[in-house]
Amino acid sequence: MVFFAIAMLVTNVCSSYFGQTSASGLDSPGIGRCDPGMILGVFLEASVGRSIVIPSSPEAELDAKDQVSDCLLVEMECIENGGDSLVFASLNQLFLGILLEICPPGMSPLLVSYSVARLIDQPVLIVSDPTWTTYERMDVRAASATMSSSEQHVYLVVLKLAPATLPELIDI
Amino acid sequence: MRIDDSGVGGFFEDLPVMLFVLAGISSLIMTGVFASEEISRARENEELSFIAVHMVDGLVSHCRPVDGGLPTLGHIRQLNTTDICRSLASGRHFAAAMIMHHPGYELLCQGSDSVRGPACDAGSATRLLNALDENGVIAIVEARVVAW
Repeated sequence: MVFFAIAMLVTNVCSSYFGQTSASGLDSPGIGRCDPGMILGVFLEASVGRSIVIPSSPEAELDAKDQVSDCLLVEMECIENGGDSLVFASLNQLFLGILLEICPPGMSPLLVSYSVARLIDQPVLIVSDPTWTTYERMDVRAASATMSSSEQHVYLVVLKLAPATLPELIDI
Repeated sequence: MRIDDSGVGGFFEDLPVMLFVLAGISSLIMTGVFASEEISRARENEELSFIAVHMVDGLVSHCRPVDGGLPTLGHIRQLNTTDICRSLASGRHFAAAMIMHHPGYELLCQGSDSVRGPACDAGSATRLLNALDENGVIAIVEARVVAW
């Protein structure tokens, strides 16, 4: 009886260990191959891809060849100087579209930028997927880059990636 | 004449003990077989992932021009992904593709050395890179390799 009990104990421990390791690989598609640093690098260097008119005063027009990093700097400088952030809604939507295209399937992006001169808990700009949840998550991967404007303002751009939450679970 | 049934009784009394011992031994053997299969499968997947990473890195290095600038979409479209990956595949089967995600979606090139896809175990790797299109727009291209 003692031998049988020990055998069953060993069997259960081994089965649960190998079951957990194989299940964890299946439950997290995309986690192993997503590199937020690589995604942020190609995102900032890419062009916006289409012309956009910013309805600010004076009105600004962004060319399709303009790089995302330059457009981000224009937007952050405008917001920092007291401009209305709502006029950049279409540009932010374009940024989110690019991020969703290059993120691994099942991953949700969040782009946050801060002014280094200001408090770090007051982001200048937030571009997020609607499925991104605001509570503290343990499975977030992040990368950051710094950018300097012509007015010598330094901004920290952070890209966070997390497994997408099902839409029906967001309100819970 | 007395019937000696003590030996038969002893045998049947020992049967449950023997069954418990046999069940314990069989469960240990089955666990050992299961564990060894899982370990060998994990090693196989790790090796396939390493080969896939090696192939996708080789593919990306073939895209980049020697002067260190951005590759062009025209150059990527003309890449022979099958030949490049075959030289790095270490005898494994593979499928490779270069896909543009931004500003539009386009399958730039693809290649494979097998008409059949991966049966069970496979390793995969992806890399993102920027490339110039004909109009001077900087696109985002993904290099993707599956090895099995």
